[in-house]
Amino acid sequence: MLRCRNLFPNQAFGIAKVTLTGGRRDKVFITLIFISVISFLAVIPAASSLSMRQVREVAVNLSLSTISFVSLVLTVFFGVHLIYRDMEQRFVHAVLPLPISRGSYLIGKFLGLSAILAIGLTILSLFSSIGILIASATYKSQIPMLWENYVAAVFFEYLELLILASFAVFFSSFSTTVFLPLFSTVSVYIIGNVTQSVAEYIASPYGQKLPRFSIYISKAVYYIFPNLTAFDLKAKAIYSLRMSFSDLSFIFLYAVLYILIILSASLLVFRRREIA
Amino acid sequence: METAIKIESLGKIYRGVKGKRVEALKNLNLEILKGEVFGFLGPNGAGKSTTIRLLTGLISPSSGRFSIGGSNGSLMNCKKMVGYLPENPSFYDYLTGEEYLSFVGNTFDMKGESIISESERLLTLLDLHGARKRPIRSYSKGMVQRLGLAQCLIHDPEILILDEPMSGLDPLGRILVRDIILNLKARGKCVFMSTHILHDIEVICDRVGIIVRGELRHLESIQDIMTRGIKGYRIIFNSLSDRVVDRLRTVGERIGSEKGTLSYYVAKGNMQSLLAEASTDKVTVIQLIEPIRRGLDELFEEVTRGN
Repeated sequence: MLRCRNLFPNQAFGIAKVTLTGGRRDKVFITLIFISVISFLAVIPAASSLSMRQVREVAVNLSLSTISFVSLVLTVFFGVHLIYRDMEQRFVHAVLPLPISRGSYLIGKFLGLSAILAIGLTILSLFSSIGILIASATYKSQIPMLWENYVAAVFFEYLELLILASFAVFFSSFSTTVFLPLFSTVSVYIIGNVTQSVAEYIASPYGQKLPRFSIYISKAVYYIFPNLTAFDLKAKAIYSLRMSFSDLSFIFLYAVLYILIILSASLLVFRRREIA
Repeated sequence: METAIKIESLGKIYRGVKGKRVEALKNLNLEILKGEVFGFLGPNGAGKSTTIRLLTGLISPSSGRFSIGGSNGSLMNCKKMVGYLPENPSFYDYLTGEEYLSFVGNTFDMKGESIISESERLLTLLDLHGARKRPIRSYSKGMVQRLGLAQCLIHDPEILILDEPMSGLDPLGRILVRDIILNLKARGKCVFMSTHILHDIEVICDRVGIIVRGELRHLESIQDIMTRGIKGYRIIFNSLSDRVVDRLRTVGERIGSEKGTLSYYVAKGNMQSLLAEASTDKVTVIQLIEPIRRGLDELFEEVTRGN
């Protein structure tokens, strides 16, 4: 686990602030957010109105899917470049000789990325809400809109992204190329989204007929990789379904624990890395 | 004098592809004092940058140890005492010069007001004030180098480690940096610098260490090098008696004549006897005696070629 006394929070926040500034000024970030805002305000209300009776539901679905996609692109893009860019452009040669521990550097980078994603998601959520309100005005839905469900869906999407970001940091902590963190992080995302279905299939009578070896491998993958389907609350937000506080708390703790474990592993690796 | 940097038996072995071992630094022992400007010389790949990376914690030693400002063991304490300028520095290029200095000041736990006042002072001193609000990516190489110097001076450190501080600077920039280093020396700071520009070492440094293939081959004060390095003298005569001319034919060598003067080169060992003879001569008038030294470049060549 991370030893907080070694992390020098001031220095970590300094790195986080610089990372956030870099993110805010990045053309990819600005362009993606700009395009998303346009689609929330124009494309999604127009596309939703084509669905006739489920305009609001479709608008919520499209909005959350757009948020998922855009934020996933942001996470992968910024996550894989987070440390790689500092290494490649030799920024670390000037930063790590400052009184910043490797732990503070790594945690600062992660906090900076978390802040970039938080800002991105907040902007996306606000504009998507306006888009949903525009779409709702065209055809009244029979299901009441529960905004708290919408906020929860976005928040748990954020937690999912933070898990992915921690993996991006982990792979970047030892990789010398951008490809390993890129493909590995995308792989974690794909695996994390299918493990639940695979586990359910294995538990079914059909799954039990599979060779023992395949079952063991599938179970190992299920327990090692994060179960990202748990963070998908889209259906609950679209159809305003009731959410269990205890379930949400459990998912929240699961995310926090997972992030801490992955960041601890990243720190162990990065402490030994030679900056040549 | 107190020790600023103490390096004991420091070694570094890199492990390359297929487990091939490259010994980049072998058993380095070095002690640099407070108030001293130390020049670290060596050909490319000699181990200068490896030593500096070890001192700044970018890589870890394979053997030996070092202490900076007497702080044994704790790398974080070492870092707090040091201002470091990397070779060909590269800083977060999306930040402005002012923002970068603020970031560095914060990492040293400086107060907000002192960060602002020191940034202003240094940016003005290093001729970057006009560019302080521009992103670093728009800076020229020389400007980045000067910003590098500003960021390592912002917390007024006792020890400075400068890797090629003159690299990428125009002549005016070099004079500016030279004056800053001389000012630091006057203020009793310790400066450990590596450079390829031998003239700067002669002008700025108190001592020089020459490293070749990971081994420290030569360590001497600049004053000793300069004194010991006198090969002979150039003497300019306004007038000469026949007696002294005869003597010069055997101990010297005529090297020129200009505006009624004659120049001779006299080897170091013959100088005393020649002067004794000239002093008793009423016709001979000496205008100038200039020592001809073996320069640092000759010493460097000699050491690196293993003579």
